[in-house]
Amino acid sequence: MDHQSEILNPTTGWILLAILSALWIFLGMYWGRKAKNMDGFMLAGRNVGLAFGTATAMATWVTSNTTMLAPQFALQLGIWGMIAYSTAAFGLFLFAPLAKRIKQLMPKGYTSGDFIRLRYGKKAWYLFLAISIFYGFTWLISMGMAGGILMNALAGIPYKMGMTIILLVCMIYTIFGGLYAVIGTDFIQSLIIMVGIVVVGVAVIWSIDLDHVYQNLTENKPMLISVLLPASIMAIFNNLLFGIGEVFHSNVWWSRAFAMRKGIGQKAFTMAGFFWIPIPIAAGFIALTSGSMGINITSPDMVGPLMAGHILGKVGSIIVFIVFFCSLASSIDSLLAATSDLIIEDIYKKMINRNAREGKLRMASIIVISGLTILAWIICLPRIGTLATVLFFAGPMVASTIYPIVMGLFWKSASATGAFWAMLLGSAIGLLAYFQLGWYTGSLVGAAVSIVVTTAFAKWNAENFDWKKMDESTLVNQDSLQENLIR
Amino acid sequence: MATRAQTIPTPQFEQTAYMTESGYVQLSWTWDGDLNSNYSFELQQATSQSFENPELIYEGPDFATFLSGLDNGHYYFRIRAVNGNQSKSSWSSPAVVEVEHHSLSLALSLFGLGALVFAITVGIVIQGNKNSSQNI
Repeated sequence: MDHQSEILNPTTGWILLAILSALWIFLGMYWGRKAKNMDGFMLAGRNVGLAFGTATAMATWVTSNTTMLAPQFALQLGIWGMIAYSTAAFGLFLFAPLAKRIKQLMPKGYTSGDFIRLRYGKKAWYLFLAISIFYGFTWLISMGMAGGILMNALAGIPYKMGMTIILLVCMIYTIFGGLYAVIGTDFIQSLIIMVGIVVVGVAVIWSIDLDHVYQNLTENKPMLISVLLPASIMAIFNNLLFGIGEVFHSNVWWSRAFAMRKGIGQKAFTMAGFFWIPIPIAAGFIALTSGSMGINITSPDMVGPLMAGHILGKVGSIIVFIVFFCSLASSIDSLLAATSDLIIEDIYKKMINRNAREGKLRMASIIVISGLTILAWIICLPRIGTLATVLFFAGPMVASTIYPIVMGLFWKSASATGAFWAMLLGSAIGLLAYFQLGWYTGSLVGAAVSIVVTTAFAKWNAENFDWKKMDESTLVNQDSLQENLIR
Repeated sequence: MATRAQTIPTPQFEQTAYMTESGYVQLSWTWDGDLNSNYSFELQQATSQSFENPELIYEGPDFATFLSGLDNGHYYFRIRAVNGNQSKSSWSSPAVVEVEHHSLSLALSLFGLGALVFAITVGIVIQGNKNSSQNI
C-alpha cells in the first residue's frame, strides 16, 4: 500500500476504535432485544415510524459512498463531479412514491426478490437475485475497504486491522438484533453524522481562503473547474441513474419500505433525501481544497477523511473519525441484514427448505450474515482498486433493474420477457461501456438499454397483470381455502 | 555531490508511461532505501522531456501522489530521494503522462441521453403514483 502520512497517532486511533466498537455492539444488542420472531428480526415488526424511518434511510445512504466517494468524485471530476454525486438524492426522492406503492401492493412482503418473483416469474427472478446479491456484495466490499482506508489515513491503523474490526463489529450486532438493531443504531448514527458534518462545514468555511483555492485550481488543476470536462459531463447522469438503480432494486431499501408503518414510507424517504443532499456537497467541496493546502493525496478515496482531519486538526480528527466510523457502520449493518434477508427469504426458504420454521430460519440468518462477512473480508484483504472502481462495476447491472422495477410497479403491461431481457442486455451493454469508455458511463448506458427494452416489450408483447397476485398472503390464504374445500 | 548521490538509492516509478482520458492519474514509486531514516522524496513535473523549468509538486515521505484536473498534453515527472542531511539520490528515469480527454461531442451526447432517460423515469414515477393513488 502507498504510504500516506496520518493525522492522529495510532494509540488514539486504537482507543477510539475500541470505544466505538463496544458502544455499537452494546447498543445493537440493546435495540435488538425486541427481535423475538422473524418479522421482528427481518422487518423490525413492520412498525417503524417517521423519525426512525427518516433517520435509517438517511444514515444508510450516508455511506462510505457519500463521505469518501463524494470527495473522490470532486478530486477526480471537479465541480461537476461534486454535483454529480449529490444527484444520488434522486434515488431517495423517486423511491418515496414507490415505497407507498410497494406497501399498497405487498403489505406482507419481505424482499425485493419477492416482488420480481410474483410480478415476473422465476426466470427474471433468478437473474435479479444474481444482480442484487452481486451488487450488495460489491457495496459491502467497498465499505469494508473504506473502513480500512479511513483508519489507515487518519490514525495509521494498518488497513487490514481496521477493515477486519469494522466488519466484525457490524456482524456481531446485526446477528443479535437484525433490523431492530440496524434501525436503532442508524438513528443514533444519523444524529452523530449530522452534527459532525455541521462541525466540519463550519470549520472549513472558517479556515479556507476561497480566493487561494480558486487560484490554485486555476493554475494546477484547471480542468476541475472547467464546465466542459468531458468525463465529468458523462458522470452526471451516470451517477444519478446509478443512485436510482441502487435504491430502486436493493433490498436494503425495500426492507425499510416493508418495515415502515402504512403512510410513513413516502414522507420518510422524501425527508431523508433532503437531509442527505448537503452532505456530499460539503464532503466534495473540501476535496477541492487539497492542492491549496499543500496536502499530498496518495489515493483519491482517502481525500475526504484526510482533508477533514487536516482542516480540523488533531482534536477535530477525532470527530471526523467518529463520523466516518458511524457512516460506515450504518451501511455495513444495513447491507448485512438486507442481503441476508434476500438470501434467506428468496433462496433458502423458497428454493431449499420451504417448511423451515422460525428457529431454523434464525440459525440460517446467523450463518448467512457470518458467511457474507467472512467472504467480504477475504476479498477486501488485497485492496483491489479504488472505492469508485469497485462499486461502479455493479453500476450497469443495478441501472438495468430500474425499469423492470418501476414499470412493474405501475404498468400492467410490463412483461416478464421484457424484464428479463432488459436486465440482461442492460447489464451486458452497460459493462461494455464501463470497460470501453470508463466507469463513469456504465450505469447510464445500462439504464438507457433497459428503458428501451422494457418499454418495447410492454408495447409489443404486453401482459395484463392482475395486481392481486402481488399480495402473497392473500394467495396463500386462498390456496389453503381451496385445499380445504377440495378435502 | 556525485559521491553522495551514489550512497542513496534512487526511487523508481512503478509505471513509466500513462495514458488518461479523464485527466487524472496516480503516480507511485518504490525505493530500496532505509525507511527508518529521515528520508523524503522530491517529485518534479515538467512539460518537456528535458525538464526545462521543472516544478516541484511534492516533497515528503509518501510513496504515491494523485494528480487530477490535467488539461490535454504530455506531462513528464522525475523523482529523487533526500535524506535528513540534505544528501540526494540521482533523479529517477522519467515517467510520462499523456492526457487526451474524451471528445466533447461524445460527452454531450451521453449527457443528452442521460437527461432524456432521467426525464422519462421521473414521468413514469409521477404518472404511476398519480394513477395508483386514484385507484385506491
